[in-house]
Amino acid sequence: MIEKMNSVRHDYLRHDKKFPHVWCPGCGNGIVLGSLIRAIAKLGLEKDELVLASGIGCSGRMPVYVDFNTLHTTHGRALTFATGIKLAKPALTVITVMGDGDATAIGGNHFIHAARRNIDLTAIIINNQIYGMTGGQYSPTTPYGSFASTAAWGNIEHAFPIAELAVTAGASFVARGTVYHAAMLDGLLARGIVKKGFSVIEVMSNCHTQYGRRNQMNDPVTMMRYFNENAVSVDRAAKMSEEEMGDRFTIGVLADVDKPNYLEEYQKIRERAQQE
Amino acid sequence: MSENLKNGEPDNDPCQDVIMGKTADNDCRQVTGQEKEKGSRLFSQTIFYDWCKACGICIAFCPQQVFSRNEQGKPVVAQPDACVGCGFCEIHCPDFAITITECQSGAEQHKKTVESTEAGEANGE
Ligand SMILES: Cc1ncc(C[n+]2csc(CCOP(=O)(O)OP(=O)(O)O)c2C)c(N)n1
Ligand code: SF4
Ligand code: SF4
Ligand code: SF4
Ligand SMILES: [Mg+2]
Repeated sequence: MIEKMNSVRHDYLRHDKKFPHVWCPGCGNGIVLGSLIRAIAKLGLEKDELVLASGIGCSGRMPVYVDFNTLHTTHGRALTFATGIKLAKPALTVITVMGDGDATAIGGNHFIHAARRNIDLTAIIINNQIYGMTGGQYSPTTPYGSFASTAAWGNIEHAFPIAELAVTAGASFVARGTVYHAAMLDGLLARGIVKKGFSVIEVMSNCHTQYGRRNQMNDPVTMMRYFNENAVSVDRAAKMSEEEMGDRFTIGVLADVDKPNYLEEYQKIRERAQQE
Repeated sequence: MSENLKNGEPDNDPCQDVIMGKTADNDCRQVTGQEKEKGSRLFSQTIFYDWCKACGICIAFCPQQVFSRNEQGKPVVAQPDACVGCGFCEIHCPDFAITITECQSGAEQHKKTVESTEAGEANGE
């Protein structure tokens, strides 16, 4: 079983690319990549049936390393490219990977409208609570009071809870995981990928280089411990008071609903138009 | 991103070995008859040092303290037989640098070799 799991990831990596990959030692992006590959292998999807599109940021480097149909697009626009691909070739399984800045700052409108439209895409949002690539500027998910290169006296803004935002905006499937809970993440990603309609999987991930370093979590191990100690399952959180929850966050499936998705509706309109 | 990695030349490619099936089996200690009766399972841990970036995740979180740390901060397999095969290190290594393989008894290993040879012959190899 373990042997199988291991050889599988190598089947999906691009061997002519430079390895080790470009991310910092211990960066959560690598853990998410491993999890995504295992989820895809578990679903038995062919490489040629898949598209992985990213925006810009450290997380945006992910498609470079995998042997699917891949696109490395512009900052914040992974979902717009993905929407085009899905409409042109509905048979493809289209996955996007975005950073927190990518998806909720510059790409914030694309994100909520993709959810509202309920288009059949999977959005993986790697939330490291910071602009990693550009030097640790605070992002829309940097917690209130924490430090960033542009918040030397502590952040005075409040963070978007990405998963909850996606639920409100209308996504069919919404889940949150962490890089510490990697085995659980495999399952969440697999469920998101098979779900018809817009799926969002927010992954709490460590950027110890730009975020942790300024917030007393200088290394990946400390950050992983933080995720372990502060993640509360959806079921347990339901029984906890707001005070008990404090700054902790929920993990698990936050929404899984069946409703008409954009592609089905669009197809119906086409059929009706052709009959008239 | 760390500068040395950006500029680093690609190292030799351990995946090739994995694809060819040349993984840890070689370094695997064979399970003895006695251990087999006790039902104990043995695992071997292979580290691809060329990909390992010494992040310390595997060393810190292994529930069995299988690894110690060398002077570069990379893991060294110190107690291979303590490994319970939980797979934590493997799925949390951001650099795909650890492989855990279950060791097989001498008889099982022989059976596997025979089977794969026969399968190969059946495919006309
Ligand atoms: C249109 C545009 N604006 C700004 C930038 C600069 N830029 C590159 S990455 C980035 C933010 C990265 O943060 P995030 O999306 O969270 O990704 P991470 O690096 O943390 O994975 C910014 C602002 C850009 N490349 N393009
Ligand atoms: S800067 Fe942060 S997000 Fe980027 S590779 Fe380093 S640890 Fe990862
Ligand atoms: S988790 Fe991987 S990269 Fe980190 S020290 Fe262990 S083998 Fe090396
Ligand atoms: S599989 Fe589990 S017990 Fe074995 S070395 Fe890895 S973390 Fe330790
Ligand atoms: Mg980020």
